[in-house]
Amino acid sequence: MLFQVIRKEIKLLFASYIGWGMLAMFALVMGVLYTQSLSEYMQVMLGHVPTVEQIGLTKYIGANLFGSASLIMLVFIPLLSMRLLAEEQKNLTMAFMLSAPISLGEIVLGKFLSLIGFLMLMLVYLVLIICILNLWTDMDFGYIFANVLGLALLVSSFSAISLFISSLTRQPILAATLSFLVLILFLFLDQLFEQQTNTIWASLSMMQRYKSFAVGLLNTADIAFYLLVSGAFIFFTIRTLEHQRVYG
Amino acid sequence: MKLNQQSMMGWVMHTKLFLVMMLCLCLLLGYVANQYFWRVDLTQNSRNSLSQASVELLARMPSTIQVTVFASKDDVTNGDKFRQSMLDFMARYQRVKPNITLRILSAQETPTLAREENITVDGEMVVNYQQQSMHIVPPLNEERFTNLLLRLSRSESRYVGVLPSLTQVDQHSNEGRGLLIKTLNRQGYTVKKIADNERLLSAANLGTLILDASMALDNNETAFVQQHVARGGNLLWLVDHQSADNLAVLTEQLGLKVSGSIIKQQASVTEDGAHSQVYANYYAQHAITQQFSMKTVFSAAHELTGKPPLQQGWKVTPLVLVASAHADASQQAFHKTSVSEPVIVPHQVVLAYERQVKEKMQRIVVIGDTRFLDQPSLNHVANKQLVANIMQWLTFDAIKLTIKPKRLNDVNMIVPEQSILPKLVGYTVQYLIPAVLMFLTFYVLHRRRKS
Repeated sequence: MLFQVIRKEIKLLFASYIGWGMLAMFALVMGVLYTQSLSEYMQVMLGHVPTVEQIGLTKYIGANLFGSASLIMLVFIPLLSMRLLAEEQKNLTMAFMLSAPISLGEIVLGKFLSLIGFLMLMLVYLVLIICILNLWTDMDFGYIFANVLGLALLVSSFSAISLFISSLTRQPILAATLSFLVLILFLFLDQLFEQQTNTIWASLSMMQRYKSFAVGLLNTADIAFYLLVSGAFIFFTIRTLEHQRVYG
Repeated sequence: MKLNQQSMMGWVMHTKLFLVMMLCLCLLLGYVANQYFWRVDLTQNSRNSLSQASVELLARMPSTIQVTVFASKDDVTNGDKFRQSMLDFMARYQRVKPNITLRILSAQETPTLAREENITVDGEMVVNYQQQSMHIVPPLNEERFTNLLLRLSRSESRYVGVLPSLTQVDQHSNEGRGLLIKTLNRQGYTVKKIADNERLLSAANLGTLILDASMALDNNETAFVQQHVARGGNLLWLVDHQSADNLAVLTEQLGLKVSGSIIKQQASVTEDGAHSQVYANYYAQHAITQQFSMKTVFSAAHELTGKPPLQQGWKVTPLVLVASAHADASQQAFHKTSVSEPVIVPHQVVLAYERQVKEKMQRIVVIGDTRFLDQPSLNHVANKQLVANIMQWLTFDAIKLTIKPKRLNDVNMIVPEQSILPKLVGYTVQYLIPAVLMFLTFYVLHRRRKS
């Protein structure tokens, strides 16, 4: 049943122009940044741009592309997730789903995984265009792997939070706006506490957690943080829907 | 099962309790994950990790290290990531030692602070540790930064004595020798004037002595200096012809001759014939003046000649030459007040002596300007830097750790000129794929509108 929910959601995404439009926007932005970063790197190699120390191509181009991708996800995920639950409630199709012989966990997980699956397509495209540079230099695949893993975990947390917010309202636009604001708050929590970098609030910042992946480090504490956030918000979503099923 | 109020209440309690327990479990797991974590550097040649030498050094530095960087703001639109690369560089140290605080300022926005810290280069860092302070300028690498930390880390302050005892030693004042003392303190030296009662005690421990010839030495002080040198102690000697005569034994050992006149440059003589300072911009290839290119200023420079007797074993290096850049331009560029003939060779104003005494090296630097450590002189950045370099050399404060830079395999991109593949990839990524996806978007939109 879980697989059927995922397939249905993915089909819906590709049947709508929103899915294709987002893929196109992502490819366009990444394409521009890709060529721009490459030409900038040539300038660095020629010594026209000052750097503190020597920097490799993988890090130079990876920092630009993965960093920008995380910000693009900040916009895309609320827009995609708003239709997963809020729109179903608005169109009154949620009742059919809740009465179907399928558990709430499967519904929520199916929707969550379909969203992740769609966003992973973008990540795969990103990895491909970076890895193709290995034809002309010895790319740092460890760095790329750490960044991809970090971005995937970030996307997973964003999706779980957005899905939860989408379950709270019947208004898709409100769900998207709220999700966007909450994600910004989670992402840049460390900026609010710039003077005190070791506070508990700063350690909840998603960007702070993403930084170690962004430089090519794997930290089990950061992985655990993202998995816990994703798990917790999926659980909250299931409880919210359960509450709605009981109380209507 | 029939639902009644009691079973509903039970269900609500059950779900709420479950929710609270789940939240507690998440928090507990998060706490444990933060306390017991494992970190691995996946990059080529572990470029994010510090060498073992740096890690061990940081472990020996328990107090907070404060780093202030004076760097212009990044212009992201021009691909300028200067500040960001500094942050990335420091993050390596911060991961190993979390109590390194980093502050990035712009010298343009904080001119007073930048002036107080004598900031001269964009990206210059001021590193403070246990009330000692040192500067480092880009390009940065692990070896340079770790060696700076090594110098800061020594808990035992290096003891530098000052003679004569009448010399003002007030680190809170910039007057007299105050600025010198302050500068040396910030570089980790403890400077003390050597009073009579301390002289015998301190003689055994004293590594380096600053001998200030602006005031006369008494007989005891003269004897102390001679003993210090005979014992193999290091010396920074500010000398003029009178003070050289007073320490005749030492002068003889060093084969030192000090001109009786003050060196003048054509450019430094004012219209009324009055004398002003002279500039030096020629430096010998020596550990003190390596890569030193700034213009130092001497306000009462005497020419020095060092020809020590062979049996003394001294190796002499003329460190600083005055006005050498003008020497070939005109013979009239130089003249001495008491000598009628113009001098046509550059004048040596600083000499460095070095010799082996038993198992250690003995070092002496002689500066032919008794005002060189005065406050106006040290206000010149170049003079201050030269003094810092001299003190580092005298106290054997040179680089001690050798850390090989990590090799980057992806730093060079070799694109064959004839190949069309790079262009093809570029056009595909930038134009073709977005265009195809855009077309599909409009196609789906059009089909939906039609249906």
